[in-house]
Amino acid sequence: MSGDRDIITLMKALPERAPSPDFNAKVLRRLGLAARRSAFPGWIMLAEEISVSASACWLALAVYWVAKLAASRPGLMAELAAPGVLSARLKLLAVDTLAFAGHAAGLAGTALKLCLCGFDAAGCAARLIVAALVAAAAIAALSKQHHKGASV
Amino acid sequence: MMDERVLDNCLRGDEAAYEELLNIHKNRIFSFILRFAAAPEDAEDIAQTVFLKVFANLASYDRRRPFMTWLFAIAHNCCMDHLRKKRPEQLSLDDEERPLEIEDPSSSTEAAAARNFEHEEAEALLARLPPLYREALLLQYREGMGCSEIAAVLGVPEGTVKARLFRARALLMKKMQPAGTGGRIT
Repeated sequence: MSGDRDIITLMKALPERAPSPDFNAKVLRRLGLAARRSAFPGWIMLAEEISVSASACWLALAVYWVAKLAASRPGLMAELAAPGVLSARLKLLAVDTLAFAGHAAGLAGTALKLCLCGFDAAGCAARLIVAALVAAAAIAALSKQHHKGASV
Repeated sequence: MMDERVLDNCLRGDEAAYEELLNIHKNRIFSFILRFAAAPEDAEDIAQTVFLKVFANLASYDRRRPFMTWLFAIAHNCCMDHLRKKRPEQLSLDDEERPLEIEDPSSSTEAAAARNFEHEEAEALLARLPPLYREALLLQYREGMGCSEIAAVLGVPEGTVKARLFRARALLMKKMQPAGTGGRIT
């Protein structure tokens, strides 16, 4: 039947196409990425999420405390410049800074892991949103407590 | 036929074996996918996903089944996912030229010469078929699969494959005719 012959001829006329020359490299890169992702146990991923969330909260709180301290003590910079003067609040701030440095180290570890496993943009965005919400709630609670203390 | 050694080496995580498997099959899979994707970039992305799924599920591949059937089943699923996301209307088997008037095969002259097609003309004619007909024809004529193998790839009963192939052939022949490319050329 000529119709069927035409179809066979048409199908034979279809050329075989080739993907881009770096196709293999792209697949192997994606494969390596997937393998490395699966190589990390679940508890590391959980620890990473907690670490990033805690760091973001800590950063928000540190900014809040420094801003509050600066607002309540206009002569703070002069006080800092004066030798041998360290108020209890400044000691607290120093402790906060040390703790924050610890978190920064945690963040650096997270960044290293992200470099090894690839950047999970959606996951990071979700964590930052959660962290921002937690930080906002903490700031609101602290402000409320502060106002209560001031009114008493 | 897929080399068992390549599969074994892939299962051991040998990167050279991954490359070997890619080199054997990438052109066929890419060509197949390209006839469903709108752009070569999309086709390449889908083809990458196909091979990632192949490598990820290689351990669960049943070696009693032909490797090509399994590979094309994954490619078919990825293509359908792509079409569902990008152009769901194309998954309909309806054709703008329905009702289809199927030509009586006896009316074709037996002496008619099969014509030669240019690459672009062949691609254009095939592209005018609904994707489900297109893939049935590609699997039969390009990949040399039988109805049972096509049924395994598409995950449908053999009867459905036969019906699709019959209608696909009839529709293709009908589409070849208006341009004067049909089987009635003498």
